[in-house]
Amino acid sequence: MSLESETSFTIPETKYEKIRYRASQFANDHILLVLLGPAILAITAIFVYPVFYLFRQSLYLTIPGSVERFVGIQNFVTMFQRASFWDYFLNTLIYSFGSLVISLGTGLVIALAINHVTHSKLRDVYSTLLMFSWAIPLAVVALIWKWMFTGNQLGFFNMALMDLGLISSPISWLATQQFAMLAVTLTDAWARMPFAMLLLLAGLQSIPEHMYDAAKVDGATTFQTFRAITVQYLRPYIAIVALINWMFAFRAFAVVFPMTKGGPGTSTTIFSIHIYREGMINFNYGYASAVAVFIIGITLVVATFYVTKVMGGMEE
Amino acid sequence: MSNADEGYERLSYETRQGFWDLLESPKVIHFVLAIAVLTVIVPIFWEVLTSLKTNEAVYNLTYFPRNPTLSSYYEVLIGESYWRAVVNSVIISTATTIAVIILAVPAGYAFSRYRFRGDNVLFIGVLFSRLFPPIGLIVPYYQIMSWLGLLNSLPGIIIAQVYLWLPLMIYIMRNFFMSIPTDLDESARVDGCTQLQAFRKIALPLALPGVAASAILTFLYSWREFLFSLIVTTDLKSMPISVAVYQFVGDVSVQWASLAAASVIAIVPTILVVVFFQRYIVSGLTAGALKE
Repeated sequence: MSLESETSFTIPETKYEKIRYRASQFANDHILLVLLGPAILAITAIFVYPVFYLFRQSLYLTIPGSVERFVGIQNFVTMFQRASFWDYFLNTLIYSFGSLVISLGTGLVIALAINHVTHSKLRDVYSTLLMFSWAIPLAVVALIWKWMFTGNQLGFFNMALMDLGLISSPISWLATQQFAMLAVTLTDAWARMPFAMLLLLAGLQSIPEHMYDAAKVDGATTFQTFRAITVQYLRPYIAIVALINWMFAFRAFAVVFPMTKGGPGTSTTIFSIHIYREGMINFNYGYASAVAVFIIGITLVVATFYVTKVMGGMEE
Repeated sequence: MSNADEGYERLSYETRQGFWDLLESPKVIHFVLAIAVLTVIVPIFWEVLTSLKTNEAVYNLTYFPRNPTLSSYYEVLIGESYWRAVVNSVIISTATTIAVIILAVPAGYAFSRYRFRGDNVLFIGVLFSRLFPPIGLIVPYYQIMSWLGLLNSLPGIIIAQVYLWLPLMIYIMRNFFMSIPTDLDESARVDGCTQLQAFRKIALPLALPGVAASAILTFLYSWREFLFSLIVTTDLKSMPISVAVYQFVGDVSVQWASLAAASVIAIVPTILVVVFFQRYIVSGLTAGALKE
């Protein structure tokens, strides 16, 4: 008998003990199956299968009420030929990059400011308060801002601007083509700023204090120190925040849907709204699946870049 | 270097330094942070103020409620049966958290400790499923749930939620286990522990802060989830808070005070979680975004 079984198990006598012994022997021999099996099985059933189903469906023509028909890449051809598809693509790019620039910029400034607060309790208070906009449900965020931007004089902005005498009649913010896009983008950035702030703060706190001391001894100016040390250390963190915040804004649904439903007209229709409308309202399953595959393709390219370049670059 | 250059360098050093000292002065820093805090707090506070009015009193156009009342809360929770959505949200978030943690913690441990054939491929697969855009799956999910008869049911939403958060939590747990020295469970095995015992009795207790962080994040994420809940439910019997809020947004008019009260009810638990578990959330978010 090996040392291992002598120390871990008493000699099984009753039936119950025998089963227990066998089970633990089995678990020890197939440890990966026990640890990893359930999770992999779950991911296969609830992720891999739907993805497979989606790809298959993107090759079929589905009309509500009639049998689906295999049409090859017809859905993709239709998609690329629609002028509106490219409008939605542009909207999605404006929305996602706009949100990224704003959330990353404000997040960086705020992280630098918090990092300069000397009192540690006060630092915690600031970052906790600033996390609120990230913590609350995105769909509720959208409703809060819809209420702020409400077009009649009930809305906070209209009320405040009219009381200040800056405007004489209420502005229909969300019903105005140019402004609606700005409003949903700002709202998205409002909710994504804290994530940028938290990660950049973690980056700032990873910079060893002695680097700054050494710079001071060498007589570097504050700006030189910032450029040579702070920016260098933050670079991988900025890259990660940029990728994650962009990727999640690119697919975001819960902001635009409650605020404008993609309107007025199609001025805030981004891909997520397009898929929802084609799939869940028009029941154009095949076409909606093709759009989804397109988005997945873009995401995979970016995700591959993320996994190889950024995550690889994190290893020092 | 000429004298003129030196003079310029010195002048610019002082002006530059002066500018940066100003930027880094406590006054400027607290001013910037105060503006940031106001930008975050004012819209939320405005929602709270609105919730203390009645649907009619909203039209008085005052910033603060003249006669603050909780009647909107009562009307929403009892009159509109919004309490059902609260119960649903609690059930969905709790069940999702339990399922995700049970699946993710051992899987994260396995990825952190074992080398096996195809481990990299499998791990990259987990990463991709985490970065995959869920919006792409709404149509298949709707169809599959409808075959399985799980539309308008809590299990239907919970299954979707497990898909949404499991890959991320596997990744987070792997990173937490990576930060625990491997010699600890290796020496436990030399001392006669089985592999499962090394996990359960040595690594798991050390990773408990990580498990807590993942659990808190999963709960928060599933409380906030909107898209799949919207796809799977149309019925208040199974609808979580994030979707139920919409019954106060009509096609023509919105009952702003009721909507505000319903929103505040949806917000309060998330704010409490952030206030009490801020450190766990930060550690979880960091572990989820970076490579250990």
